[in-house]
Amino acid sequence: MRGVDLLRYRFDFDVTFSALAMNADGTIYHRYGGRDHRSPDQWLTRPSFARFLRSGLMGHAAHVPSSTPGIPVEPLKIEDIPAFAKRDKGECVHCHSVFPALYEEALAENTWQPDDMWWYPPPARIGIDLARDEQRRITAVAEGSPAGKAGLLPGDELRRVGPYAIATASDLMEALNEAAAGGARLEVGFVRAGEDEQTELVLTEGWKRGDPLSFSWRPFKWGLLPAPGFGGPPMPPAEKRERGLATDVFAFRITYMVTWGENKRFGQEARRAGLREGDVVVSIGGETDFASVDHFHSWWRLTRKVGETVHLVVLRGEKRLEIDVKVIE
Amino acid sequence: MNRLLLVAAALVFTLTQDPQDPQELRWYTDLDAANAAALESDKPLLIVFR
Repeated sequence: MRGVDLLRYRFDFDVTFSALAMNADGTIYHRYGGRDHRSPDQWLTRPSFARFLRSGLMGHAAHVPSSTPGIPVEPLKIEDIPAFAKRDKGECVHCHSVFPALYEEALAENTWQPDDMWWYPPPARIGIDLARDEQRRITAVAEGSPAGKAGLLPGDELRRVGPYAIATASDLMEALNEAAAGGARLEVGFVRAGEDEQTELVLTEGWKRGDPLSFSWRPFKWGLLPAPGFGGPPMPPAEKRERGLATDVFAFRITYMVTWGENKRFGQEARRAGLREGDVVVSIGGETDFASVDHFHSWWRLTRKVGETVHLVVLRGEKRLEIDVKVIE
Repeated sequence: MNRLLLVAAALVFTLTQDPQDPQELRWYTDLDAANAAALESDKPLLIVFR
């Protein structure tokens, strides 16, 4: 990302793959890519990419350049963000480095708001799911959700949400990203049975807040505190069978404890509580249905409060141990 | 190392409605050069990050 203007080329910087179809004047016609917890390539398919390209061409054909020059905006480059610059070693800068840099800088400037972490809300946040190949088409609407209350139905095709023309899931996530976390009303244009229709999404305070599972895929989670201070890869099914565990239960072996670096206090606390490398974690805080180790890390960071203790059940050799780890600041 | 590397590639594609025709694609690895080419030719840009 070195040298890239983060304001001009704006996208969900945590993603696997992203593309912008745009004009050299800075107008973005459509966006492509993004992901969610279901899969790194949830929104990446050949048919949808071809549709995105066609939509970009159509956007360009219809584009009317502004006759008045816009107000110049100073470019924002990651290497110019002080929180990043202080540890910049001049190496390749990955996309996923952007959000942690913005987060750290906002903390330093005392401008960070808790809801700022819910970047690029997924379609599920308003209560819908979209088709992977035809990403304007709604495939599901949750009852009682903002989309449900707005009268949207499976089969409807989104055309516009707020000021954004919708061709892809990424376009929708951009529109949602730009809507205020404190509440917003978004005009929605859609097509039902060949007819153009309109409705309004009413988003109330807190609507952007997700849950540990839907947040779990984001690399950004690693920078959030409090951290557990330990982790490891999921246990392979064959190893679960050897341990007498069902293959579909959640379990992971602790392969590292963070007892070094800036956050060593978390690993040291876990070790003090009695955890050890090699322990097999099978239950955390009474929860046994984590979908992944990422889900566990996200859950700890988003839901545990400083001062609490988290009750863990671990297997060590033939023993089954119960260990309480204190959540520290 | 390369998994999340920025592909600083800007692709100027044409308005022939056949963006997959390789004859019509021009690749750049420099955003400024791609922008300049797009401005001069009135072509849209496809910017890819991965």
